[in-house]
Amino acid sequence: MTGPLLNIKNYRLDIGTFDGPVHVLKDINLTVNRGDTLGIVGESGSGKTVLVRSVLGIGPKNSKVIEGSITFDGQDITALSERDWTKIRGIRISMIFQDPMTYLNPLFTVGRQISDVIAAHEKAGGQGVSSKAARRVRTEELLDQVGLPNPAMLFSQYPHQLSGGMRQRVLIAMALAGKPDLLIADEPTTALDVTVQAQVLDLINSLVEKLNLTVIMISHDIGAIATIAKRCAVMYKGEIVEQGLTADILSRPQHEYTQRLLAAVPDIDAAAAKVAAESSPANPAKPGALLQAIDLKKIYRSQSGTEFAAVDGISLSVKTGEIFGVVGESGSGKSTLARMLLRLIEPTSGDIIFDGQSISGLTGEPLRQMRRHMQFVFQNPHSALNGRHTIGDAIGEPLHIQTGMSRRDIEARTEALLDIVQLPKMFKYRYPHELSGGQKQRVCIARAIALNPRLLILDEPTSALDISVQAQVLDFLQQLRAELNLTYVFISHNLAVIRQICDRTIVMKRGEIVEQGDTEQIFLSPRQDYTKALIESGRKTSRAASLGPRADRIR
Amino acid sequence: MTTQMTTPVSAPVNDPAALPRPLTFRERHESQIRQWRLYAHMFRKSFSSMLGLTLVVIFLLLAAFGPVLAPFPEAASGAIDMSNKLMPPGGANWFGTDEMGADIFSRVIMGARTSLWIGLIITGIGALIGVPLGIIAGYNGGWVRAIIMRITELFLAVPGLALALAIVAALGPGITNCVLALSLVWWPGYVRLVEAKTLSVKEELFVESARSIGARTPWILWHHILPNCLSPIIVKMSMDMGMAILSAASLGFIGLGAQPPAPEWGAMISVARTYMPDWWWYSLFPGAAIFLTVLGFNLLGDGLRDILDPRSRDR
Repeated sequence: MTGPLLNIKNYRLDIGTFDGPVHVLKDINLTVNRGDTLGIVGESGSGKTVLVRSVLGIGPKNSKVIEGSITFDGQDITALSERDWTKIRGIRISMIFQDPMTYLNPLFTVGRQISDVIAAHEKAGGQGVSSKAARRVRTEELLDQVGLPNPAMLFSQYPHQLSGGMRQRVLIAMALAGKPDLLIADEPTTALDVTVQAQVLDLINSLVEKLNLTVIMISHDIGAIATIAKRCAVMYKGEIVEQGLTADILSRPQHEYTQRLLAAVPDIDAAAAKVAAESSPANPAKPGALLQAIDLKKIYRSQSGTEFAAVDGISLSVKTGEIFGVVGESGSGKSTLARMLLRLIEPTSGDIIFDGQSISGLTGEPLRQMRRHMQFVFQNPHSALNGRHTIGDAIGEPLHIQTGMSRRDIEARTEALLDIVQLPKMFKYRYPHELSGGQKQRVCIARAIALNPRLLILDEPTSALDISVQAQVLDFLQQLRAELNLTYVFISHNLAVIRQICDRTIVMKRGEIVEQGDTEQIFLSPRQDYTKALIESGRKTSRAASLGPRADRIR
Repeated sequence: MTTQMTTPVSAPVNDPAALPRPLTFRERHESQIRQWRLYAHMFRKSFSSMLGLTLVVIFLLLAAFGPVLAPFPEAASGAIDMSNKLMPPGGANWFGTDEMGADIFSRVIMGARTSLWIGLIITGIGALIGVPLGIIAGYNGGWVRAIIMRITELFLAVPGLALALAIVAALGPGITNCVLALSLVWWPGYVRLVEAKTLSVKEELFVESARSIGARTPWILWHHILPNCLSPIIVKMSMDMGMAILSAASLGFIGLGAQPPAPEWGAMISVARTYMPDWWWYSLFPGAAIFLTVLGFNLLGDGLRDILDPRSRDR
């Protein structure tokens, strides 16, 4: 009991690839004592997931430990046989994963899945499997422990009947089934809505206190880490660049990368220093609305005949030159709204007016022509580019389709566009999979502005990107708007981002507008309860909150 | 997921905007070259893929240079040498001779060309009919899809070979009719395959993205859907080459395909059947040729499927 629970010493791991070995983990030193809560922060590709998976013995294929060891409770687990692993994995060390939907089997009830886990543990522990009824009692106990209401009913429900937050709780219950010494949480809140995120983090916190759990949590979200972890390690390119008390790291980051990371986190409580659009002399005379939607509705009819309104009577008006924010949680209908504005989805009823002309009746050629003026930037740049086209093809495609430009002119314009989005011209010969997320999103933006549109609809343009990249892309978008005189409709679930860049904002919930007005006004004095709750939960994981009361509590 | 191992291209540090000189071919196509080297590397690692490739290459060489390689090219055109009939393998006739005294080794070699064009035409016509129908059905949906798919299913419901048999019987036996009949029953498989693939590709964001920049449907089908359906089509065509050759040989065997003395493997076995088992070499060698060719194309198809699998792509 004296030594640390987990001790990682000089750990180096290579993954063999076609281009030779990649050094994924470089000289990792990390100790976790009993009762510790350790957070590991890092961006995608920093090696944090590989690290914790190695602790669980489920590291990537073709990987090779070059040096060092991982000791768990005095036992070296670096080269454990698969047989010995079964006594540790899931029982003494267990893991919660990122996406609660894909880790639950849709064919079995929640209760059955947890009972099976309990049975498996009992079997692996060498004792006989207890009766079905006994396991049911234990399962309901676990469900109760993770704060799920009415465990008896939940026992016989299927995963699809639960919300994302409930599923994550079920997974946590499952991870607790073996009474683990060490709980590893791999981005447990990333796939969840803001309000749910805050609840799940609270739950983990209370479990830590109640069960005296030892937790390692990895996340790219430094706010989430700050709410859970007393100690924290920052990973960058396979190395731990900094570790120590979370409060210290947040208030006095030593390493240059940590400083950069912290500076990039948008702060929900900071009034944005906006490039004032109103005072800009570039667009003086035309204060009129560029885009209007009047009572827009989209109703889906399910097979059983019940109707469901994804967007229920939304009216809005976007002024020329402004950044118009749309904020809401998943399922609020914001993506459907965005696609309807561009007529990518046909509205059930209502009217869309672009620059004084109704576009909801357009078909064929006029619709195609209209598309020049309004462009879409998609959420996920990884799938918005065709993997079989080069970057040059992708950027040149709108020019091919919409203009009669010659091949040579298109080449030249493509290079100019790459210049505008600050990518090297060389990139036109590259394929999307060779680019990083931020670079791909820049390519998507280049593609969107190729035809000199007047309106850009940005559907969560940064949510698939790392935080430091997000900051760059946001800056870049603002710069671009000033240069090209664009109007943005900016959709996001991230309140801090919305506050940072939007002039006016609407808050959506279940297909309806809950609140609308000046962004600052909404954030400073929200009128509706929903908006208040949303901002409050956003604040919880925001940096300011974690630095404030939490830091006091530790001292 | 954070385990994804993409390789971001590092930007030149000094002046990213300037391209001082026109790039060489190698520099411009660096990405493709790397991709092809990766394919080659993965392909080489698998023994069965290499075996398949070797068999197919041998088959192609025989088809190309058959008349030059065969020791007795006149054996293929029905030369009769009764003094030499049904000689066992050895000496001048490595695979022995048939009942007309023709050299079986030469006839097997010459048969490769027949088999190659049978395979190519059948899979080619099959894909040519099937792929466009599949893409249209998958992309359009609605009643267009319903009609195309119902007709396809109608064809699939009848065993292909039996249907081909009926068609050949109606048209009259012969190699051209046999190929025609098989082509006509071969396309439904492609419709099914391509329709399923199209259904998933059309939901991809890049298709919506193309729509949002105002692309017309034919452009989307040609530039976005088709290239992304290509890998399964290539794999299926490679495997179908073997199956088509086998089917044509089957029709030849029951006398509806190529007619003796044309050097077609199925037709050769058909005649050789009556000389079993005493003159075993007569049917063994054409049979082995069919076996190895079909095996080769199947292994090649398997190997291609493994390297074209998207899960093994970005490494």
